[in-house]
Amino acid sequence: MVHDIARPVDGTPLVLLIDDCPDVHRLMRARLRHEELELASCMGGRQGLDEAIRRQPALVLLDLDMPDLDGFEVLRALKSHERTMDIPVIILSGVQSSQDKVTAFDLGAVDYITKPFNLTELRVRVRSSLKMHHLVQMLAQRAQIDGLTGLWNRAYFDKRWSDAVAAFERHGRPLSLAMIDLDHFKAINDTYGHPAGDSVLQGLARLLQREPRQEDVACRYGGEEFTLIMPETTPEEARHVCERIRTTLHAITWPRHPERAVTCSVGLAGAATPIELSAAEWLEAADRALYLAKQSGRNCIHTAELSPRLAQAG
Amino acid sequence: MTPEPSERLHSSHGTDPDLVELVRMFVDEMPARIAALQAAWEAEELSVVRRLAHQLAGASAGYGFDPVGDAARKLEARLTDRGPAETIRREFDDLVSLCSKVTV
Ligand SMILES: [Mg+2]
Repeated sequence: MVHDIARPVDGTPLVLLIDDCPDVHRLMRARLRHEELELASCMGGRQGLDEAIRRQPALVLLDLDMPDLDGFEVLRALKSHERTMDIPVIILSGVQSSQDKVTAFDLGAVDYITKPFNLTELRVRVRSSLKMHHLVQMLAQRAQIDGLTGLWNRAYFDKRWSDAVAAFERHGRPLSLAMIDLDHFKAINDTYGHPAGDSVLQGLARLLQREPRQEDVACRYGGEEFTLIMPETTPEEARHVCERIRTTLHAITWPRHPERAVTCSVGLAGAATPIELSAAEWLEAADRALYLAKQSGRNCIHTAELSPRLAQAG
Repeated sequence: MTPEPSERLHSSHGTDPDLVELVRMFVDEMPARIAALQAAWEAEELSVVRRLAHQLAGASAGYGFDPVGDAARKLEARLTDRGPAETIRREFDDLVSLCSKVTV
């Protein structure tokens, strides 16, 4: 799967409880029944660690004293794994030990609750950790969004695209990439002013969010250049998607300049079957295709011929 | 701190609607827990006794049976520190006696 930074920040947060004592699970479930959260249970440290990496909960409640893998070891592992290092962890302990508290906070725990739980305290601490996690996630997500268009920005694209190519290499499912560039954008800016130019950028961005399917990822690559990552999409299917975007954009009547239509050129590079191409090479191929679309008169789509690297080398 | 002997030990959460079902379940399961404790004790498997005491220590107060939790924690600590045999014996008996009194 593609590393999913785009997971919605909203929705019911998942809380993972790792404790070897069944009673704690029952009690916690009853105590948190009225909270807006989903509670998942793991009875041991090792299983809990695997589950945390797999499901990436918004909060981990972690027992210290467990027979298979103790809480500190689980905490250390969580904090050193890329997928779980940012997840807040609250330590649950049966003992009031200053040394344990110091160790827990040193290892990166956000909080420490002593069993048996005081109901109010438990709820408040869980809520506060969830809220903090939500804010941090929202900020992280915002840093990857283009302010003008609301699309993903270049930084996000770079990461997401290399993830998409890695997934393509693993599973061999089709993958297509489009580079979309507004034609004569500078002239629009110069003639009608920057607010008009901004409207055009936003107009194309809206199309890019509306036209493709849910799993497609639209990004503002820079200036008037956009990218569209289309997983599970053959070059032929991608061409249809881009053709719809191209014709819809062309047909728009712009309030600031109704006399002037806006068009775009598209460079497309996709593969339906396994092909050896790095993310950077693939992106270059789409960029070259875009250049050729511009060369052949703009307002059109050019599809790159992607040949396997072996053939190129021979 | 052994409580004054009374026939029954009631849960302080016995009227909490969120917990009453769980308390009932805990009370129903108590004979099995006592049997497990006694079996481990007879077999002189003190590490198992310690484990069971540890679980009771964590759980009992959560169900509203603080005295059971206290007794279990005391026994657990004593087993961890390898305290005098007769003290362990007495604290084990205290725990079992308290356990047998729990009720909703
Ligand atoms: Mg435990």
